[in-house]
Amino acid sequence: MVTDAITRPVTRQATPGHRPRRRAGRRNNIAGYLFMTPWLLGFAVIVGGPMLVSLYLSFTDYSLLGSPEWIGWDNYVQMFTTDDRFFASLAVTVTYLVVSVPLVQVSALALATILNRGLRGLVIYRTVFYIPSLIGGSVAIAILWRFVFAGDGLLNGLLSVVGVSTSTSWIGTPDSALYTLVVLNVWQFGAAMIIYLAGLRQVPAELYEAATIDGAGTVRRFRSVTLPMLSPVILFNVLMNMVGAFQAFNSAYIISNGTGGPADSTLFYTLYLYQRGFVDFDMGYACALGWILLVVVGLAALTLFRLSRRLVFYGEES
Amino acid sequence: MNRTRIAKTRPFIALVAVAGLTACGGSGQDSSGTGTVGGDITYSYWGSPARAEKVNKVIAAYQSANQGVKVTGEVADYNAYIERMTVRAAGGGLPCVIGTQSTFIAPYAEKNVLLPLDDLIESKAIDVSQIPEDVLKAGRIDDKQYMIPTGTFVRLVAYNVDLVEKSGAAAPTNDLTWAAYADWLKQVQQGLPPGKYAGEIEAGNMFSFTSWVVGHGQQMFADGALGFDKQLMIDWFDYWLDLQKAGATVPPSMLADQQLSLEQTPLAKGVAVSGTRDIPHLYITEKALAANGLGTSVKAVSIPVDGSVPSANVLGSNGLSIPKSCDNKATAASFINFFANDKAAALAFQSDNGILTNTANQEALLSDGQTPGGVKQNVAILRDLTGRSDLATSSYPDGLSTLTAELTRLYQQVAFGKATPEEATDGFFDKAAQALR
Amino acid sequence: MTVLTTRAAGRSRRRTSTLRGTTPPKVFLSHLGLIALGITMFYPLAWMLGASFRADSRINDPGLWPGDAFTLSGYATGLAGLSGVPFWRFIANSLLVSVLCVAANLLACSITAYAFARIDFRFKRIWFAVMLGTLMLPHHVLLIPQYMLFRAAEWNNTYLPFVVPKLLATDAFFVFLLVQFFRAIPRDIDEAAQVDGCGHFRIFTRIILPLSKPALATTAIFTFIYSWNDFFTPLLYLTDTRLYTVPLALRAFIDTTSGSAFGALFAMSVLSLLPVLGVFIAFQKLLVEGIATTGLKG
Repeated sequence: MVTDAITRPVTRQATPGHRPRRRAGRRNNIAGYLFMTPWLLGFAVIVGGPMLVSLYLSFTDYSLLGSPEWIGWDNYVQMFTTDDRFFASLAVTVTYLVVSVPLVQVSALALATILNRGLRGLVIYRTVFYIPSLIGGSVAIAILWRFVFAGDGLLNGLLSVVGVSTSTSWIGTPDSALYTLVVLNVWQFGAAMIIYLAGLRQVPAELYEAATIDGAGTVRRFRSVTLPMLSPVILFNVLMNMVGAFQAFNSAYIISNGTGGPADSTLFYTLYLYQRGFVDFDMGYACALGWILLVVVGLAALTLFRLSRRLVFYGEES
Repeated sequence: MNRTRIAKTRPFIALVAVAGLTACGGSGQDSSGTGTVGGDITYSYWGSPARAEKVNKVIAAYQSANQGVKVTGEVADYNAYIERMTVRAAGGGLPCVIGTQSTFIAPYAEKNVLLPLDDLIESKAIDVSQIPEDVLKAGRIDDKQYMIPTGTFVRLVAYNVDLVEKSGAAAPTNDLTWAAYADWLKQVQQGLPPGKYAGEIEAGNMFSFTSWVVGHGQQMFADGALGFDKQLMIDWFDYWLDLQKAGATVPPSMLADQQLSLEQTPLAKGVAVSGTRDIPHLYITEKALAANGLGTSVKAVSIPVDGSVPSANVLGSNGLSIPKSCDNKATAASFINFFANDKAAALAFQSDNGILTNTANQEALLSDGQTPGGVKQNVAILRDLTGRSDLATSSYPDGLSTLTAELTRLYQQVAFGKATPEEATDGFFDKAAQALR
Repeated sequence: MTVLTTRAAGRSRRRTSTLRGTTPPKVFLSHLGLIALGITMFYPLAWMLGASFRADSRINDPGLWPGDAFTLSGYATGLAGLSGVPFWRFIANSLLVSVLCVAANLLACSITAYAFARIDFRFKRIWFAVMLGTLMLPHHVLLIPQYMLFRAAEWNNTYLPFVVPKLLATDAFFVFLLVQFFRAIPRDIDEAAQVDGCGHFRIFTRIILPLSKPALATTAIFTFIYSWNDFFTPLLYLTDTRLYTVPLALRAFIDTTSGSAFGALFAMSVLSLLPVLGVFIAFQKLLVEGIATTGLKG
């Protein structure tokens, strides 16, 4: 590799308190772009190109089986003025997000912290909590979920054992259908938990030692050592969970049979997009919906990053 | 440098892709289909592993009758099949023979994805002499034949014989009016224990609604728009809302269950006494009930009619089509002809996707000892309906899938009290104006 | 450099007990809570396991034990597979694809993440934002252009549409994951290596990668699971049944237009869970024995 042969004479010492600045020199540019070659290629051809095409399509009337016809902003105008289901699907998606993301993250972090303490049987617990994530995205689980929350299903069966006798179909009633999907998402907190566990492993042990020597208790150690050191990973998990929640599709599709559930109560944004594109054959409109989602998610992510600047601590800054 | 190279290729790629998109609607190949039968083709269809086995038998029979041809079967479940077909149609990658259905064929026909088969029929490459005219009509769009029907489906009113007896009501007959049907449901409900209901909710089902419209002497679609009065639809919603409030139908929370697989529907679980079903679903439902001791027999009667019209049993069909992009049309035509007409094929496939359309083969199936009893029952029921001329037709225009989904959704709003029948009807008409372009 | 590695090895002795404040009653309560939670979470899966041994007509029974409805027909039907292709073939296909995807992802995403995390190059911020942006567009919108692209390249009916995008680091999720993990490693180590005369490649392979074993293990596990459960890509690109992967084959068991085979669905889902579980258990060790970063003193 080119970079190997380059031996930079060191002009500054890495003395404590003085962080040598890395200037974007020409050698760094070469190295950077060399490392980035696969991604750049992949982006240009496989992702970026199709993204541009979909952006173009969002300004057309494209019925999938014919040719796209340019109609300018009509799709976007229709979306914001006459389309009730657009706003309904946004509301469903945001509700889903706001309820499930915090639940997932708190459970994942709590369990990861507890399991990181070196309890016996750690491996078993970790596996058991993680298995739902292993299989959660599969069609069998979506079908299973219907069985669990149906009027004559598992949940009602268990409730009747405890004495609560009800035959409500949780999946068939608009008020509760979305929350069955929230439960499905939270059930799969194991994935985030594993990421937190990996992150906890990277926290230097001597930081804990130093804190203990200073007299910090468990909670204090958590707040002053664990959380800051874990913050890049927390940011990642929250962001990814959020992006994933905005794009949730599979389980809602299978559980509601592609309809968006009783009275649009499980009409996730991407499900609505899918209906407009593949059922109504209005692909131009679907692409417009897709780009609006990108803007919304992008704004949400930006907000998260801004917040993170004050809260996230990267190890590369000493 | 990498950057500038990438920056240059991106617009180019986009251009290529768009050019590809604009070129993909209608490839302008000629529709001759004359030519020698040979080579490889793929037959793409929907179904379960059980159906896949039967198709493989048909393919084996075809291959041994036509040496030198290889047919590959490609199966997926119905929803996945539709998705795959749509993307492939848009991207120009459809195989030579595809399974189609009268309910979704219109957009593909009108947008030039499918080959009109009239030339092949005239040249006898595909023989349709044994298929009744009414059935053939279901595969015709704008007077051109785009699909060769190989299986008919008709929705009838199915009922659980044992539960009806237990409720003390009389069994329904073939000449009910809608008002009489409502009375019958209420009567059955009176004799049922709690937790059981007289009927499933049909209000959100497009087939049932079509029967209502046809049964009142009106048309579903006419001249690219809806062909019936708004009041007729409002009456439909009111009809079912009344029954729902009277407790004669399943509660709205079971609407989701009605869309599930056959064995999980309220009728198949012994929770509902009646509901509309396709003919082949009758014995599947019967088997499900029998396995759980909830019933021994499921019978069917014609959909109610309101006096002025002979029949409201609207028929649709499943069939085979050839996309225009097919590069081996002669073989495709020969395979379709075999599938639809060959006796060995019919006996192997056992009418697995709707009642088989070839009337000569229907008789062959009835007299063959290997045919399961359920299949014989299906064929017999259809022949009975045909014999009594108790069948009706409707058109299936582009936009039907949208309206089917919309009707289901709208009735859910009505059932849960989120919309009035008038509002729902307005919503449906608005959507139709958009969808029936 | 050698000093670094021996110190890391020394530190890898995991401290397993005696964190201050963990008294026996607390330990007992923790176990109790964990067990209760575990049972609640595992119950649906246990039910599914029971249902896989249950006759289709009784599939709704809420109990865990099949009892008198016990049958192996779900496994028999499921293993017979689809259209003459036995089910173990689908599992083998899924294994092949997933392993290839894991290798491709590990390679491509770590290189890209290193560039984002450790190299200052021009327009880095913009590319990073663009990369994150690619995550935010729903994939249905890209479906058709991508399909046409792969079709033009004649990659239909191969596994190339699965693996090549991974090889080109299109999985922004993992690039971002690795970026975050890489950034958590103190730069002092890099700088010390640079003093020793290491270029970026050496730093990447000798320092960053070894210190990121937990992150890499996580990437491997997740990539395996995502590609194992991927349904859409095989649906669009695979026409030959013999190439089908598990999710595609499983869907055929629940065709709503003919009779469904729930027993077979659950049975094969249970079987397909085993390889995934195996991968997880195998890679778990890397998570356990991850080398904690030592940092540089002074």
